[in-house]
Amino acid sequence: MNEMQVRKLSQRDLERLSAYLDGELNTKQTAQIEARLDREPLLRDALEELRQTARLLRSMPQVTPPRHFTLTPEMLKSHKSRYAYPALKLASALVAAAFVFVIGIDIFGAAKGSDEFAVNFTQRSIAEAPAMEVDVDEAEDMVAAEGEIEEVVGEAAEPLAESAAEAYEEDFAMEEGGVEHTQPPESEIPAEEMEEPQEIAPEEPTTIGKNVEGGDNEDETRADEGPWDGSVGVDAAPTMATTIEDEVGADDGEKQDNKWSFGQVEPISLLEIGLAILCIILISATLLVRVSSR
Amino acid sequence: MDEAELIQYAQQGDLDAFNRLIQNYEHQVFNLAWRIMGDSDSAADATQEAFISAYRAIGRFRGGSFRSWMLRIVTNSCYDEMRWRKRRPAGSLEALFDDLGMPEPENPGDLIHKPEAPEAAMERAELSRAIQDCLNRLPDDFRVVAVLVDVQGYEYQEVAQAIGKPLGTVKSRLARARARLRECLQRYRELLPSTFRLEDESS
Repeated sequence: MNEMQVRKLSQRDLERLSAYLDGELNTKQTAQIEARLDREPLLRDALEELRQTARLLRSMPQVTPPRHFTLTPEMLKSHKSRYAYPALKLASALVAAAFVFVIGIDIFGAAKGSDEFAVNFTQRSIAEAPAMEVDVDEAEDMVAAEGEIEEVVGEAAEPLAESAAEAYEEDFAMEEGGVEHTQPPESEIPAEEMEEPQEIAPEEPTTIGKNVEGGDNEDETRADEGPWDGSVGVDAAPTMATTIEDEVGADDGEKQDNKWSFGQVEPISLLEIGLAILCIILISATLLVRVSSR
Repeated sequence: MDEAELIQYAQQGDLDAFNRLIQNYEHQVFNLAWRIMGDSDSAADATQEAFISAYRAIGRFRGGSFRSWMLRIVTNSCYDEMRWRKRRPAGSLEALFDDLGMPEPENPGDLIHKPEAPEAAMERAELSRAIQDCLNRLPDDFRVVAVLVDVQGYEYQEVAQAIGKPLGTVKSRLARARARLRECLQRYRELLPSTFRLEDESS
């Protein structure tokens, strides 16, 4: 089979030839293409191929319609359902997307909330241990400016935690070597001393700042040096009374929030339920219209 | 009652006047839809939809050529029908033929042609199916223009109005459609007229 000439033409030449065939070129374009046709056999062959193709298409027979298409009032009424289908389909898709989006926000929010809780808990735990060993000089450096306390405590926590670990290792080594514990066993610690650190533990980082700012509490803060010295909390208590109340208040608030969230349905859950119901209704209507329209 | 009067009555909501008006276009509209859609059922649906749309829109008809106005509505209706058919799950016989790339068998009884020998009629029907198959293989936009210009014989300007595109777009689509059709028709060389084959062989 010979290769077709129309394939060899550029798009521009193909369009020119096709339009020339139908007499749709202006005078100048017609003169140009005719001049080229005289000297380019490839163009002449391609023109002939296009002419034959158009002739074949025009030779296609006409067909008689299978029926008449006169309209009735019933046809005009039922016509609306055809356009209801794409509209319902679009609405269903949008509502389904909104539903997925809300679910995503809910899940992401819950995951983020639990992460924040874990981070807060860790920070607080880290802050508690060194706070009992820190001295005022170190603390003064740590709290150079108000508002930076959390960051400074966090930075100070690492070396202090290391020193605490070292102290523990020394104790452990002494114990291994038959030397007596510097720290009494738990059973020997008086009940008061056992309880107090636990009670004041959450307020420790704030206590440091208050003491430094106050200045007169230097001696009291120095008493913090012993890791198991429960007197810190007692001595520092007047200085941080407000803070403790604030913390307690905050804790109460959290408890109230927890009670609310467990006792009632959250708004986002209501939204999810609503969207799910709407989605089901729309999908059902879409399917109904689709089935009934054909 | 002439066309202008029928249009006027139809614009006032007279359904009978509208039905009399479209009787003159029924054949033309269905044939156009048949060649664009490629099967009788789709063409009938597109034709019916076109007339319903025309009835709803005739209040906005502001004179000029009713044929051109109708042509635009039919073309849009065919595009709507093509979109609708693409969404429809396959299962019908027509869809099966489409999937296999086979043309729908034409009922020779539906064809309007001069009395001829049975063998010639059969060849003619086969050639028509071959051309329709090649038309069906074209992209929708190319097929619509090829049918409007080459099969139905409309002018470029009228086609540009019907599809709502510039004249240059019509020229471009038509040229590319013709080139593709030429290529496709080589599959049916044995069905093509002798002049078509001979000239091709000599080139």
